[in-house]
Amino acid sequence: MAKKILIIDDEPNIVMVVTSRLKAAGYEVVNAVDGKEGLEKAKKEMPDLIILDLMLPKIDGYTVCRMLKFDANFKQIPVIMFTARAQAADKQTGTHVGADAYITKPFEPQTLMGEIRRLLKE
Amino acid sequence: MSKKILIVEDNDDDLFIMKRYLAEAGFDNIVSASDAASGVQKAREEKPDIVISDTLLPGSNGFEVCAEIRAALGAEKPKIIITTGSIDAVDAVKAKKAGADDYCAKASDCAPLLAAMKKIT
Amino acid sequence: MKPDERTLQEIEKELLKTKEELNLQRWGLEKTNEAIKTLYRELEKKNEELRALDKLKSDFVNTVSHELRTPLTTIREVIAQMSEGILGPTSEEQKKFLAVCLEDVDRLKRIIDNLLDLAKLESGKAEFTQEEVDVVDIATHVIASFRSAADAKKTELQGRYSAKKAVANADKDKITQVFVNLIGNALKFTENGRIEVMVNDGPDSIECAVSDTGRGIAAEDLPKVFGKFQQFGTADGPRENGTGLGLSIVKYIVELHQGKVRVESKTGRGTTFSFTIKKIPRG
Repeated sequence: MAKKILIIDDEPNIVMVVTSRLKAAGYEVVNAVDGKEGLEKAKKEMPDLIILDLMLPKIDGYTVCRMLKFDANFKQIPVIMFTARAQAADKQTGTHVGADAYITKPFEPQTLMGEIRRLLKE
Repeated sequence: MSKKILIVEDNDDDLFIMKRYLAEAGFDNIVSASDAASGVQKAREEKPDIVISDTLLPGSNGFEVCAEIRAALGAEKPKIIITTGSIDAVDAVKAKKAGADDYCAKASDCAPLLAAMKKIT
Repeated sequence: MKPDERTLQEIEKELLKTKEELNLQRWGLEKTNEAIKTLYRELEKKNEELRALDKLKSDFVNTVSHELRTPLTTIREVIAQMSEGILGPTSEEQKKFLAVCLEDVDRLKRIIDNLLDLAKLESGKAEFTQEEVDVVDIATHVIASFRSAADAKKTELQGRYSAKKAVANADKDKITQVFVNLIGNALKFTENGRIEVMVNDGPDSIECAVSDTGRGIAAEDLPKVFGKFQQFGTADGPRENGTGLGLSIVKYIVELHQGKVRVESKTGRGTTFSFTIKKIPRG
């Protein structure tokens, strides 16, 4: 059965192109446009992996990650932080809130797909 | 006719701020000098009603300026206010002994200065 | 005890003088108090302004970073996917053009990265982590990453180290960037030549150098070399693609480590960039 990936990002163009690549690689894709919807969809869809943007409306990426990782029902879902931000400190903060990987935009396709395969143990 | 004011101040920004707030308060007859010697000179020439002097001036200080103006023009006129922007130059008694009528600190909204002006006009 | 010979009038005069003096002192204290309060309030205002300006700088770099990198991500992905056939079949001819497009997208990405790095360094917003780093190890890693590029240009790329390790308190990522920028630069201007990376361990500082046998820099251009957006072409070649910021960044980083960067060059013979890293930087 195809693995399901949830993309939480408020930029529709980014969602469109990343979804295209993920689907071509055989994954099922669902998405959310802000932190609040992200948490709701995580509950509803129980994805196998989450790609999470940092700069999100309503609830920001770090908080979403922390909430997922501190919840027994969701902490086993691997989270990839996905960001265009400038700071190296973001990586540290990501680790603090429990992110499993960190990809900067623009991204090298092999790097993103490699991390996804690694975290899904494929 | 509005009172003539002489400001002795070497910092352009501080001078600009003082001129602006004084003008807003109705004091638009202002002349200035940027060092002690020309300050005393201008006081003699222009015979202002009020002199506002900074404490720290190149080569000298506001207390000297005050004493010299008092010596030249007497104890009644002009009224002299000494202002300070530096915590090191806070010495109110020295100001009074040099003949100043009042003493206050510089603020970005000139509130203490305007209050002092109100008291002597 | 002698009887007080002063007259009543004289005593009264003295008392009056003392009273005046006390009044003066009391007035002085009140005025001083007010003045100190005013100056303190002014200091607090200045502090607020500084904090706001600082936040503005951070926000600016982060916002610009996000605004520039996000559309570039979409553009790059679409081109890459077209090239890979994910968006439908593409002819070989089309793939050639897509490849060229991808090259320029990556070039744009490097320019943006450099601009943002420089913006952070200039505004004092660059993070600086200090830890024990082995400069020899960093140099070795950077050389390895440039190995295939050097081979492609038939240029030898060697490291020469005075010791197996050279340890300093420094920011690992930033020192890595210095080597990347200098070696990358050397490679741009050297074909069929030799590039040597030297690390000399000293008592209080580490001397490093990147030497090449490339085109060299004209004497009149040398003083401008660390300036922003400086790119030099020579008679025998066009300007290489670059941002002209790499060396400015090198200078900033080396100076952040309380070091100095120097350049020596002769047109047609080659160029040597050298810099020092203090082992225990002050503060």
